[in-house]
Amino acid sequence: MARWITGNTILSSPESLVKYGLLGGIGYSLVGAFSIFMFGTFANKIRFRFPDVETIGDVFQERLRKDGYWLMTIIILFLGLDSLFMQAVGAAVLFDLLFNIPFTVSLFFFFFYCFIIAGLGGMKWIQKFEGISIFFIFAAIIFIPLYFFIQEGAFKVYDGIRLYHPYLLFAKNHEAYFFIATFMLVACGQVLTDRSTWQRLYMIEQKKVRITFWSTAFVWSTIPIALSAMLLIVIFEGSFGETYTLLFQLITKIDPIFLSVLFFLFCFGALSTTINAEIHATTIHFIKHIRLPLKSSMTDQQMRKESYIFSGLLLLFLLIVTHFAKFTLLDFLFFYGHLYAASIPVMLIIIFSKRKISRLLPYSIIAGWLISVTLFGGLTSLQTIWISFFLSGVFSVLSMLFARVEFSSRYSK
Amino acid sequence: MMPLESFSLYVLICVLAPLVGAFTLSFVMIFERQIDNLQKEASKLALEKELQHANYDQLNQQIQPHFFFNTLNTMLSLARLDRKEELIKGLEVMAKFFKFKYVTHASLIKVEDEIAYVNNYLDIQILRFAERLEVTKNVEAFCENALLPPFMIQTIVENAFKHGFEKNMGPARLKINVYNSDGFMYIEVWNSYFIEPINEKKEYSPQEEGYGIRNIQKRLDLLFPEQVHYLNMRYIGDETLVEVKFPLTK
Repeated sequence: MARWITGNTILSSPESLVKYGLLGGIGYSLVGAFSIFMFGTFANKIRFRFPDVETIGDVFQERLRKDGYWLMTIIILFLGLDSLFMQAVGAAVLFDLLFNIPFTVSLFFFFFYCFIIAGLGGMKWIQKFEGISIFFIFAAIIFIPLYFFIQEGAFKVYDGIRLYHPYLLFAKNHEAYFFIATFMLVACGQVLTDRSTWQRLYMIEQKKVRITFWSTAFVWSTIPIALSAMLLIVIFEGSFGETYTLLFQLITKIDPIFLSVLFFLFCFGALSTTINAEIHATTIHFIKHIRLPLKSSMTDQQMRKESYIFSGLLLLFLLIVTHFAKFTLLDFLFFYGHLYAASIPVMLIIIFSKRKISRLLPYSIIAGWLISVTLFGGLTSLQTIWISFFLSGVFSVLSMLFARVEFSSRYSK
Repeated sequence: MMPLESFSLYVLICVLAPLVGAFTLSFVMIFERQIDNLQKEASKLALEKELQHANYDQLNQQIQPHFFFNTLNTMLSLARLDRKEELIKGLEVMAKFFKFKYVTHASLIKVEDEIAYVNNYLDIQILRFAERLEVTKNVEAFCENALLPPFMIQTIVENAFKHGFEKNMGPARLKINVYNSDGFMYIEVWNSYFIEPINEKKEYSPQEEGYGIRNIQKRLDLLFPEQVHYLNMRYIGDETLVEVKFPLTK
């Protein structure tokens, strides 16, 4: 569960709240819960279909061939960088607000901590720290809003919001509904292609898989709702600048030192567990499904050594990239949204189709994404995400029809 | 615009939601182990019951008086013919055979132990069938330490004798293969006779077989409730093949 209470939640829910009002805030939590719930529904079928795999890459190895396999593996690696990058930005913002030292230094120590836990410690250590993080996350989201609203009362906050941000209170916001529907699509793509979710799918006892994902979906949905209340506390006293620093500004609003520490631990826990899970899953994906097929003579020790180097380099890369990050988080989310939406039809075919898979199938993702962002530039991002999804769907079906020709011609020869 | 009442309700939901979430999470975490333990306990009890059935079955039905008296007669013939060496060997393997049956109470045993037990049984059968019987065993070294439900191979082999070799004349060829692939253990027992009248297409479900085979199926269901496993009997050429697949456990 800690994997899903990600920095994404902390960073994107302010954006969705500010842009689409309270409805956007609620929608965000429903969307995330729905996507995890959906994956839980498929989970048992996936386990029965692929009983002997451990990662999403293993499934590709079983189902895809040659360039199809390589393309899909690289797309999954690229998608993994999205989440890692967002956590890194979140951590940079948090440390910049908290400490009076350049965030490069604090971020370096933070990444070093992540490297020790995820890079050197592995899954056992990650799981140990996940439990502690969950405790702090819930402690913070229960105590902070409770304390604040008991002290200030809802009326004062309502007045402040009506004065400074009245747009948040409009419920008849059609764009918000469209945003929720689109984001649901993106979130489904995100869960389906998430390496660490797939890893966990095979770590959980089979009879508990479905119920675990379903209960995670339910428990998870309560978190963004609480976060939206925490955001209201930040913004009701005035206007704001950048949205992705909003939640972290809460630390300046909380008086009791206990709650400030709790809030810091909450942010630290959520960001670090996500980075840890992502670093671990991305490293395994890279070593097992990209390095190993290229150099099959690698021993276990060599693989371990390479995984340390890869995770270290990845964190170093993130440290450098965060210094040049100038972007709107929602735009970033939309950019990746096209890819996530386009990957849904392909992933569904890989998982559920009983036929042989065409080598061309993974190219549908690239085609859907490129055509939607280039030819349909005049439309809004929300619209082009749907176009990307539909185009990829059409190309996937066509490539599967082509697969029949591909295989029948081979057999006839 | 949202009125104050609705806003207050929204805030209330926001404040209560994480409490509900934390409560659900704690509930799942606290009671998960207890529910698990209950399930395990029930499964263990059922397994023990099945094992008792298996033991009972082994002692009372499958080591039928028929087999027992045949063996005794074989021993008697050997004594009459003054073939002392073979007689001693026969009595020795018979003693080992019965000892194993009485001392095995675990729900899983090592493949090598099961094979040793089957060997004792086959040694007795060799005394009876002599040159008529030809046994081939291929047990992968990796599988020797793996675990399987006790009497599994033994029951299938006994079945081959009972329904195949004892009812038919001519050479009796028995082949036992144990190997692993993709995390699963495969056990194959081939015999050179049709156990049922010839029907190339018919796939026999375990339910149609005797109690011994049904007993194996039940124990597999109990041991690997959510994992892939099967036991089936089919005919390939003029031979009968009983094959079992279940997850490799060490």
